[in-house]
Amino acid sequence: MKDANESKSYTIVIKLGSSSLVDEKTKEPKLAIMSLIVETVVKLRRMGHKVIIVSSGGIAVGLRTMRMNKRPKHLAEVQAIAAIGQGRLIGRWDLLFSQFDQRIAQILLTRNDILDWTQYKNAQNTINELLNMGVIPIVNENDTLSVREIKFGDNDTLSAITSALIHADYLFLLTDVDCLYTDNPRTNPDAMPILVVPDLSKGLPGVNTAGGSGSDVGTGGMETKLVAADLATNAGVHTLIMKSDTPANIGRIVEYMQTLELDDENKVKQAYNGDLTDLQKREFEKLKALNVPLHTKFIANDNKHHLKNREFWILHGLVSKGAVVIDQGAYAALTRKNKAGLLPAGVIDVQGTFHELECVDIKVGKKLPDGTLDPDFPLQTVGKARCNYTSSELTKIKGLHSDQIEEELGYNDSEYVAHRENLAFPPR
Amino acid sequence: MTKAYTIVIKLGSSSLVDESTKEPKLSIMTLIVETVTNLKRMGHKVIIVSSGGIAVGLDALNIPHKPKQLSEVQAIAAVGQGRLIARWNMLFSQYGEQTAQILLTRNDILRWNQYNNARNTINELLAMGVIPIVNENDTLSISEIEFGDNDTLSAITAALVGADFLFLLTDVDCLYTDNPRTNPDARPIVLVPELSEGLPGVNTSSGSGSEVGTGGMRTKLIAADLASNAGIETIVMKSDRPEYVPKIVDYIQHHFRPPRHIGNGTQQQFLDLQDTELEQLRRYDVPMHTKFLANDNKHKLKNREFWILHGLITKGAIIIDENSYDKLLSKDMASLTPNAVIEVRDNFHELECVDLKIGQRLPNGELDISKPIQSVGCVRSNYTSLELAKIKGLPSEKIHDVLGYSVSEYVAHRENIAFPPQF
Repeated sequence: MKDANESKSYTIVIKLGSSSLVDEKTKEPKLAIMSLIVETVVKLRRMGHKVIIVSSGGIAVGLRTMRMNKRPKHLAEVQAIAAIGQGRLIGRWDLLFSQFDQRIAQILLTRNDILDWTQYKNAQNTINELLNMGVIPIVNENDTLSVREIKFGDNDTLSAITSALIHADYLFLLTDVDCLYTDNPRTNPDAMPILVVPDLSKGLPGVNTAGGSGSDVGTGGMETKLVAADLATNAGVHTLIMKSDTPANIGRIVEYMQTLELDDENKVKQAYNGDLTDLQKREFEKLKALNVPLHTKFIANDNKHHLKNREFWILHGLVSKGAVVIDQGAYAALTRKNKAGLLPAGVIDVQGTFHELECVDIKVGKKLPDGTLDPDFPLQTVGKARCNYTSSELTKIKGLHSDQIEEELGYNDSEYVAHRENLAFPPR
Repeated sequence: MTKAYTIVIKLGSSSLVDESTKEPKLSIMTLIVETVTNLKRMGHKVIIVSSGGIAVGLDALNIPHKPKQLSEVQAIAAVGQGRLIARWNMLFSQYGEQTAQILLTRNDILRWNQYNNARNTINELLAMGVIPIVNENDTLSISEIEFGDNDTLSAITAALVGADFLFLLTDVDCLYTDNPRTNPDARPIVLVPELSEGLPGVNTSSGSGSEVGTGGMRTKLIAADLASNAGIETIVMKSDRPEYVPKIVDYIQHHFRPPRHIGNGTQQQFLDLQDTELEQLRRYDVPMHTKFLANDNKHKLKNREFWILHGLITKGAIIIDENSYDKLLSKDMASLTPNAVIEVRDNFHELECVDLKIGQRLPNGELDISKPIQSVGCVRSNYTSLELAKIKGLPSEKIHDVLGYSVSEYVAHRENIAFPPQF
């Protein structure tokens, strides 16, 4: 089995923050680290893996180019600087990778580019085509054009969405600490390293993430990395946090992964009883014995519990425009395995304004005897849906049987408020 | 006093990449860089609209022909666009100039605030003295959100920033009455006062073309029409002599006199005009080019009108009667009310863009389908197609009775109605 494992080829996404690429104070490029990353990526490629880089830094490079000390506050100025920097940064990557005769490709995304299912799949096809060609895609947010309402928010989230988009095996989040700790090791000498997290959905008992890492150049902190890890593991992608100034360690960690038995990670996951501390000690001993660099590994959900492509797109690729409140009975029916669709009879209330097939939250509420929403019952968001009806239409047909839709609206687009393929719930 | 202009220069793939070998045309790129640098030193602001990502990607990957599968083409564009901007950056850096990369899809300007955002960003770059290099984000564009060709993209970009000139560089030195490669009697067209009147005596069906670039003369005429409606002078000229741009700018600035009469006139008048202008070009030793004059201020599209007409994707149509159309055109800033609506076509959401058409009403209020229907503008409706189908032909006060609610007494406010310039 060891030989078979060693020949495994992975799809790996490497996310680099601004602080990996640009010096925080001088804003000069960190060419040495960039070169180390290039060498690491080339080596991974030669090992048979496919690699994607998610690289921020356009704004930082633009600041340096324009000799500006601080990031401006005016949006048009920030975006202008991003436009200057992104062209220069991709040129830098191209120059470095060319030394190894390796081609790269530039992918600039806004959330607009994946709002439509056809476009989501188109982006997926394009990146997969690049990987098949042996090209290294370098993905960034199209900062020049993103207005607040369509921003991904941070590049950690973008890297998680990219990983899910292409069904990556691993997402490496490079940062300025070597792993997650129970507390900030700079201020608390008793902070312990967190090396393996079998189930992020159970939380991180004993871990203080409020004082995360941060830097002037990058706005990402540990919190965004945990959000990214949650997104990625739900989509079946193992996520690792490690130090950015020794990128060569990626290769060593990947080699270590290849030595693991196929079910090792699932065994750790199944054996996990919520005692995070004991697990860290055992993992620490293992890494130490094998001389593997420090890192935090968030184990992905197994096939049974990970989000399929379209489910991920509905949950994380779209922007929610409102909410549909359903009762517990309807929710139970939706989450059974008989692939139920959502019927208007299950709808108690409609919130916000939305068009048909726009994304809305699904919330569970309680119905009063007269059929209206019980305002005292706390609403719980349980998933998302793309409805066949607009908010105003749904307001009219809520609580009705499907055969009453025609009578109420004058037309009947569907007996379902949402088909099964347009419903998505986080893994349970 | 030398005036400072905002100039958009559009380069086709054939300007940047050799058609056969796919190798970069570094000498022409360098000439363009020198030209742009000179224009900047003259005080002008310059934006480049540059295609070529796919062609550069083909070269980088040693692929001889453009593939047919969309994801392959887009993958190649992703390789090429990074390399191309790096090339521009390297060349401009020799002259101490900075470039900025702007990659657009139509999605990026579908909302008014995004359209304004893109404008603000590009104008900020120009204010910083940076040269924006605009291209379509080919990697991500699917057919329904494509601009279609970079000529159209350059016209929209020029309108977006309120440019004074749009230069379309191509592989012929100007527009001709026919293809000069096949018809030795083809005559040069050097001045077009009014493109919307058509080009009498001109055959544009057999335009220029090349394997690398898919643009032809027809797309340049469409771009010129868009640009002139937005108040932008458009010039078509040869791409292998980019240094001619400042000479043409200088000529227009100091020597050009617009023709006295309005419009293109008859075919003979139009051809006489060409002879007169050609004589002027010879007198001042100005290189050959075709000049499409911009509409004057009275007839040019304002920013928001341009955005509605050309920045958005049309999703359906609203048909109104002639009287209502006349009211909308009058200067009292009339808005569109539901009683004017005869029919609604296709499906659209509120505030999506739809064609505005004129039809004729039968005595029973329905559309007379035996009469021709004419498109006259674009509208962003306050109501969906379904809602509008219910309230069409009704007075505004009936809206609430029929729908159960009333978003507005108007189908469309004046600010969400746009017509092409009227003459």
